Amino acid sequence: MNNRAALLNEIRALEFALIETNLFLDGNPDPDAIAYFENTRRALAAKKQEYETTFGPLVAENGVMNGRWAWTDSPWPWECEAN
Amino acid sequence: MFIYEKKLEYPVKIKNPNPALAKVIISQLGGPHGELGAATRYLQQRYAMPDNRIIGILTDVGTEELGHIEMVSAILYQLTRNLSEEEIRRSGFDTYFVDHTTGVYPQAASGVPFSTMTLAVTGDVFADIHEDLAAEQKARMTYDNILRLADDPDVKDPIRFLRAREVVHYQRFGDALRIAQDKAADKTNFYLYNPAFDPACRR
Repeated sequence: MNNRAALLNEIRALEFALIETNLFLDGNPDPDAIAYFENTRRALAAKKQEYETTFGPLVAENGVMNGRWAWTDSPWPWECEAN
Repeated sequence: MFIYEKKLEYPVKIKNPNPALAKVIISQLGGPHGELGAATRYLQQRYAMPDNRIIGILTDVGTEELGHIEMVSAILYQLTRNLSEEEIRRSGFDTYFVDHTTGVYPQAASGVPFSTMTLAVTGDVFADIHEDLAAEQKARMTYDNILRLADDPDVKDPIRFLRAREVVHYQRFGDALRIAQDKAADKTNFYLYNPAFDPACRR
């Protein structure tokens, strides 16, 4: 596994925890879950920033990389090379 | 509105194309229990819902399902790469290929195109939530059947992830049902009013 895929998997793991907690909080606004959500959100934001600085944008809003439009660069998520 | 994030929720990395398997898995894109129907059903049910927590569950599960449309589509895309005409003929993929080549078109494994008849947006809180609980079980069942038919670990891994999400979504719709029952005007008869329509029990 290359560095890009490894970092993307770290992002996926944190985002998965965030999605799972989000769905739980919608129906169960538990204080421990809120604290866990906030900690996970901060860790995820840091990882995403690291990824986007090194490998390119995850959202179109961050599509400019070193003055160049990098949003439309390959690979797209459904390609093997992206995973 | 929706903002696209350029990654899959869970990785899909399939080494060996297998058009016969794609012909089966396509049901979880455009079949009666597929991800396209799930995403659209939940997002379209939100407008009639009288409780913010239930609206939140429908919004967030529906949004995750949009990501699952992309995951199933990625599986189909990777299973149908670099096919020879001989492979297409031999695998039985020819009946799909003739209309769609290797484009990713939402249809059931039987060939029936995606139908909004599977959506079920009734505008009735209890009918819709029960529909969603059943939909998650039907999707879980379809993934179980796909796992019975698939023998490639590269395919089974993301399918197992998707199957597990159906179980979690079922639990979250259980939260939605509990919330709706707790709020019902008459605890001995949940169906006395439709809280999405009859003003007597709106809060």
